[in-house]
Amino acid sequence: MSTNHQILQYSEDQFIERLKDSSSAEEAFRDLVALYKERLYWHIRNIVKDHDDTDDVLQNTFLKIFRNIDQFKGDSKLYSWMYRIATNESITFLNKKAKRLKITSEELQNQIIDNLESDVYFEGNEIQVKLQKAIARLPDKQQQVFNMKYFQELKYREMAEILNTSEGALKASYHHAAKKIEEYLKTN
Amino acid sequence: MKTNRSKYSENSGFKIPQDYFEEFEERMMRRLEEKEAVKLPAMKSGFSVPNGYFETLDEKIIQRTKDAPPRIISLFKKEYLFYAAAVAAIFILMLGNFFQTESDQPLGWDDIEISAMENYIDEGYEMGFIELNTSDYSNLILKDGKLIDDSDFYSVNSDAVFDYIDENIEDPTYILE
Repeated sequence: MSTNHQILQYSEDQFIERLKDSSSAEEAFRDLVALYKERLYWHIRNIVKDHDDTDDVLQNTFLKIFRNIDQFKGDSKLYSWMYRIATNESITFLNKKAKRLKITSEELQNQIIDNLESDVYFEGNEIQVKLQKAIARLPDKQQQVFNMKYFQELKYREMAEILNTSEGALKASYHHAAKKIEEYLKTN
Repeated sequence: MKTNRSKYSENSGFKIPQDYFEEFEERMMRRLEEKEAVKLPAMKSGFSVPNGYFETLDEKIIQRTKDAPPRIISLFKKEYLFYAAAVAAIFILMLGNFFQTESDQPLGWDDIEISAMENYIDEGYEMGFIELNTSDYSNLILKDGKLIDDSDFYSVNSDAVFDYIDENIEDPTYILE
């Protein structure tokens, strides 16, 4: 994954040390937010769909990263740890929302997609709405894989780190997802 | 001595090109990629963000890290013991005569997101809808450094607990995983 000049000054280990050291933590965290805010935003947005909800989840994600950086042991890359937190926060958010509305996760997905056309921050055309409907019909894992590959254009190697799955399994999963979406777009 | 050789090997007389199996997976994956590449036209998601959203986002996030109380020490600072007491009060009430256990389904800490509960109590205190007059319960909470003994949950019916929280807490989904 490409990094910008702020982080390139340091190796990943050095950067993590700066995040953990109270004298440099704020400056390092600012760099981290600047570098990852948009990537994590779009990762979350593709899962929760609504801008305001994404904003909440994104802020909570960074808060969790900030509070838990001492727990980060470096067993994986920093970006994959952050993406995992963002993914978990997004899924937890949706589950809680479904519970609060007393509907199933599936019903919530449908509701979210139905609201897309009236969402001021959705500028998609008819085919893009249809694409979102097709994605919503996929199993959760396939949705994640599809969004990460198709919209975020992550490499399989990066996705494998984030999702802790083999590249082969991800390729197969994307293939199944793309096939189902293609079928849906053809028949609807 | 047994080997890993396939029982379908050379008995039939058929041969395979050198390295056929070594390269098979690679070729298979390439085909999958080729197949997927031609299927879907490139499309944007259609999502947009308010003007200037990303420009102001950094400051909002940094500010939140300064406003939010540190989580790790919260359970062990004296004033947070009262928050914990309020949490425990919920469970102590539940462990009382409010419910009849209908099944022996155990409810454990896995079902409760502790950090969310802490946040809920923090916010509840700040917003004034949780009164911290629950010190009577504090002796029951911290026992050997643990908030509450897991075994206390084994006699509680999980549905009843969730119903109780649902009815008595403003935003129960914030607590329940």
